[in-house]
Amino acid sequence: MPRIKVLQLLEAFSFKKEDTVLHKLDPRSKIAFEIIVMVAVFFLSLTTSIALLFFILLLHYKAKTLDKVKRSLYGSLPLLALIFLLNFLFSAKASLLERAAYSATMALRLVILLLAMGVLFLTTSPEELSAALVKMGISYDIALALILTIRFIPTLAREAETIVDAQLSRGLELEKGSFLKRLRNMLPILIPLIVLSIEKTDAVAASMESRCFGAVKKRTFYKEPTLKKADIAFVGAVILVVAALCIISALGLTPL
Amino acid sequence: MAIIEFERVSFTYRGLKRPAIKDVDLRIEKGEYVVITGPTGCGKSTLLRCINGLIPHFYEGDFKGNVYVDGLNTREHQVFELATRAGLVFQDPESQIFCLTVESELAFGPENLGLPPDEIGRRIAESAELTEVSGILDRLTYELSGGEKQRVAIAAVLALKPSILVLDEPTSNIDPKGTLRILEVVRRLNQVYGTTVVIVEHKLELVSLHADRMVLMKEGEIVEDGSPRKVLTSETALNMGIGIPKVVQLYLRLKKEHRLSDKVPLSPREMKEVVLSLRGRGEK
Amino acid sequence: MIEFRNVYFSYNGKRYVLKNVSLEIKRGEAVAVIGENGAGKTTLLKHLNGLLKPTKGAVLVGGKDTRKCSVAELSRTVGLIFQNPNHQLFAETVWDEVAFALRNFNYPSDVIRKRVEYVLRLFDLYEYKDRSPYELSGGERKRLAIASVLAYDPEVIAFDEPTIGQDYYQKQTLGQYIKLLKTQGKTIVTVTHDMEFVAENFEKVVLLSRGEVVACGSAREVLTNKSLLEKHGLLAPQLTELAYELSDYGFPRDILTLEEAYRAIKRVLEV
Repeated sequence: MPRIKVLQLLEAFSFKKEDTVLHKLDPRSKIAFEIIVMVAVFFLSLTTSIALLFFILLLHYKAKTLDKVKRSLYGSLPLLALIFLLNFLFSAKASLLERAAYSATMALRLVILLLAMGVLFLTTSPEELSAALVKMGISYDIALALILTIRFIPTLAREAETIVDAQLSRGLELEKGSFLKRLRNMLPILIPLIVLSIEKTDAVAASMESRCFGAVKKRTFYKEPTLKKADIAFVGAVILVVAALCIISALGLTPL
Repeated sequence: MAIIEFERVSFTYRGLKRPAIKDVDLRIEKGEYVVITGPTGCGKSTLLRCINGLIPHFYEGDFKGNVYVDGLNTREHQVFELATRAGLVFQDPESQIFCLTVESELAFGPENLGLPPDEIGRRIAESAELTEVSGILDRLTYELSGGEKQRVAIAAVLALKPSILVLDEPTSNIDPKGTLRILEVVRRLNQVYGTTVVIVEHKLELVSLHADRMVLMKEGEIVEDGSPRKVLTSETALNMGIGIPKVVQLYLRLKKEHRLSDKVPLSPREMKEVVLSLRGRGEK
Repeated sequence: MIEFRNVYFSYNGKRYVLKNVSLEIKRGEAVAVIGENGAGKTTLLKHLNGLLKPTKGAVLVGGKDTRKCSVAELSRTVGLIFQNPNHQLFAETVWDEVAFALRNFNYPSDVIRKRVEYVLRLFDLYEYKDRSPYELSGGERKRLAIASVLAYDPEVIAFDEPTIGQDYYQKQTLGQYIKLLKTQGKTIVTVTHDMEFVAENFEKVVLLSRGEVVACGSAREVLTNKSLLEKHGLLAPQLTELAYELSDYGFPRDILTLEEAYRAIKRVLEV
């Protein structure tokens, strides 16, 4: 079993503060962008999907997040290949070209969805995101659960790595042996991890109490999300682009 | 009236038989810097948890006696009220940071109080300056060093504007440089800004000089309470197994053969003065 | 016993965490690796049992190149004790916890029984043998962690920051275990930034700064060099500070113990 590289995987969704237009947008505009893309993607042909992909990559370029996105793309290549293959083999379409085009579109949809999510998560801090969610009517407790999860995943990943190191140092075999044995060998890693997580939860809860969590019914937010002209322009642009692509696709104006 | 007062306080955690603290009587005056120390399991952390109300409100168990913080009886006030009087900083930097950026971490407390954004902004700037983290406000919390995380934790607590700062072994997991920096921040808060400080520490050679008072605990009870110089040279301390600073141990050895002033040295510099005054008097 | 030959190590291929580290630790030596946070101490320690393999250069343990051995193999020679015992406790009983490594190394069951019993008695844990490790206090868990490693009697014992969170009494106990290990001829390597602990228990010190070895010598040489320590983010032991304060009065610089300091003061007074 390869060493856990969870931290690297997570980098694709980890926020970093930059000074770009996208970072300054109200999270709600970005959420709207997500929803529009997620719905529209099912109505697009191959060519228009590619066009949408380029549009999203352009957004990443403007947000200076292209590097991070590249890494997660490489990571998802095996999955994309699998989707392509499965669709290709089981598709009911007639010609070979049509089957290839359809399968590619399916795979592309996944890429588009991932990249679109990346636009939101890479340019929005969890705190801003939860402030936006609360403003949209979602209870703060749920939003807080989201923040804490994102916040503690790197910590738990590091603990897991240390646990693996400690147990390997006692002769634990993770790479040899029957499947059943290897499964059983996960116990010395899972048990300390679970116990540590529970203890941490306790400590975190005590700390949060000590920071006045729950003091007032309606807590305020330091960075209150506000819709500005840039947000309206952004959402407007997204609607235009996506609508255009959908129309082009529906009218069958593209070859594939 | 004392800013913190323990009146015959005992507490036994639920499910355990032995009380963690027993019949504790303690008075701390405004502006004092009190070091609490003792072997593991002596009840230090339990004592601290009583100050901001985690005991009896968060930790379940049998609570006897009364604790008054800034005039408030902790039995009758919730943790979120007491936390604006006494801010508690814990040992593990990881478990007391919840936000992704330093700035949002400092905002967390004031946000919970429902304060308006510009007041929050003011408090962020102030606490960041007091703890020397103004330069790292935009940094991601998981990228910080242990020492930086602890200073952020202190700043986050200061943003609630408590007049008492309570710290539970804050330098335990921190390297020497980070430790010095944290303790310097605490010293300044106490000596320049008048914050009352209650700190549990094992590194006595670093805090004795800053402290007005030292309290020794053993098996849930307070066994010594006085000035650091008095406590570190007491019979109890010597028999107890706490890290008495080397210069104090040297002083005690010399005192067996020479006449020395009662000013117990707490630092190498003070020890130097002791030696030089001995030399000056021609004592051999 | 242990040799680092021009070792370079990088986690991500971009920055070197260890740079050109060359070290020799002889059998039976007690060495402390000191340095500030981020100097690469723990990274260095993990090379001892193969958890990490050098990017460039080689690490030899008992003559074997670590790149050619698995962690399990090397762990039989080098017992690595991590800082937080909670990272390894998982067994149903204290007995099973101690037997874990022995079982992994395929020792015969009668040997396991003898070793576990011996080590449990040695560490005052025998009365807990059938209890869950989670019932033990923090200090007891630490003893359990050390016992679990000593059970299979490795040649080299390596500690990662053993004094963090320990009170005075616990540190003294730790010092006694180290003394015991020395009498058994074990090689001991510790990573720490607790100068007082080093002064009391280790003869040889390696100072690591930003991945490079900046000093390697006797504890007396390195720990009493105040400017060297401060330059690399460390605090000198209190007695060293005292020595510097009194250096103008004939107080020797290389004082490590209380006894030496006392005698030195007496000499200063004679002058």
